Amino acid sequence: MKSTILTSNQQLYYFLLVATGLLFVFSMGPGLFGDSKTMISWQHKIFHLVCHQDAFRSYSINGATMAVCARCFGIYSALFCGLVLAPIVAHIRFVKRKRMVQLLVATIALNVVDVIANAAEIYTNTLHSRFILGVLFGLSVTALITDEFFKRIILTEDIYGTTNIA
Amino acid sequence: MEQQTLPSYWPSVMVGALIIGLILSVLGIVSQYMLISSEPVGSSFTLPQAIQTFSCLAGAIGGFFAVRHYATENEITFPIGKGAVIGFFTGMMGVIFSTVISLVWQFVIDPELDDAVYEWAIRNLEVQNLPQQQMDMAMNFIPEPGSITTLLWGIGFGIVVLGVLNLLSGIIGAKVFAKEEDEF
Repeated sequence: MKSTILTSNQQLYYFLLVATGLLFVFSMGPGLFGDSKTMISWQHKIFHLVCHQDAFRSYSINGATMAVCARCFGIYSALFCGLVLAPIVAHIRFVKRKRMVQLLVATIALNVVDVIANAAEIYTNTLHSRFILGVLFGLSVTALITDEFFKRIILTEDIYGTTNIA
Repeated sequence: MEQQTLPSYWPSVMVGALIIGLILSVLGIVSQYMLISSEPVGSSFTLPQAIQTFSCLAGAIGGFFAVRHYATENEITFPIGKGAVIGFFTGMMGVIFSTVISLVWQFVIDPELDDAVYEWAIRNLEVQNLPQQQMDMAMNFIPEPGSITTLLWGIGFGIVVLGVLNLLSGIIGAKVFAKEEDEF
């Protein structure tokens, strides 16, 4: 059975790719740009609204704390990497939207449980565990929206030559 | 083929923006009062800051709710590009509403709040016993009360970051609420 990838919403895809790419780069903080000032940079100011930026809960680069916590860094890196890989992932398989929504809800629930359990001192999460949970959430978002940009279709005689394919 | 004319999405954008504008400003103001009533201990991470962050993350899902409102109120389906636009505008308008509410509070209701927060931030820095050079640098990043530059940067960063995050949540909203059932 022959299949191919149908592309759509390409302007939105490239806009998202650039936007999430910039968020990913800026979230790494001043250390990426060779600046070792911790907690006082324009990158920190950008993310001040959406992240607590606790230094003890953040990775660092070149001695400078990243501009976001490990969980947020996981989300931004997964969003960007997920979108970069979208054209390849689309080749692998097609999963129903309902399953993708369930996966997204599950990863949100996992993150909420992790935050509550840690705050209630049921267990202590780590930098890496928070990062991984952030990555899972980011990937579930990109998995949900990937088929809006790249969709695998099975080529049959009925549709052969009737669709614009990549 | 007859082209379907979609109804205006601005009422939904305004509903979503009002909700997140209220969340952002009310929790922001509450966290500021919590901050000035606490003792500075030199920590860069405080409970009021965590509350403020939660309010902003809540603001990031405004696009999702605005798209849900648009799809359910009008009982229509539409492409995710529309959801992205609704999400971005919701984030943008939410930041503007929140700024207006905060300004009214700052200049009309409690003009001393900003000064109190500024003094608290300086005392919090002093407790950290930083070298003078780092202290000066850190001082530059504490917003001065009533500074127009700080206000404009805040609006600019807010629109960009919350705009993009709401754009994403708008796309998710469109995927969940604005798709044909048979595609599910």
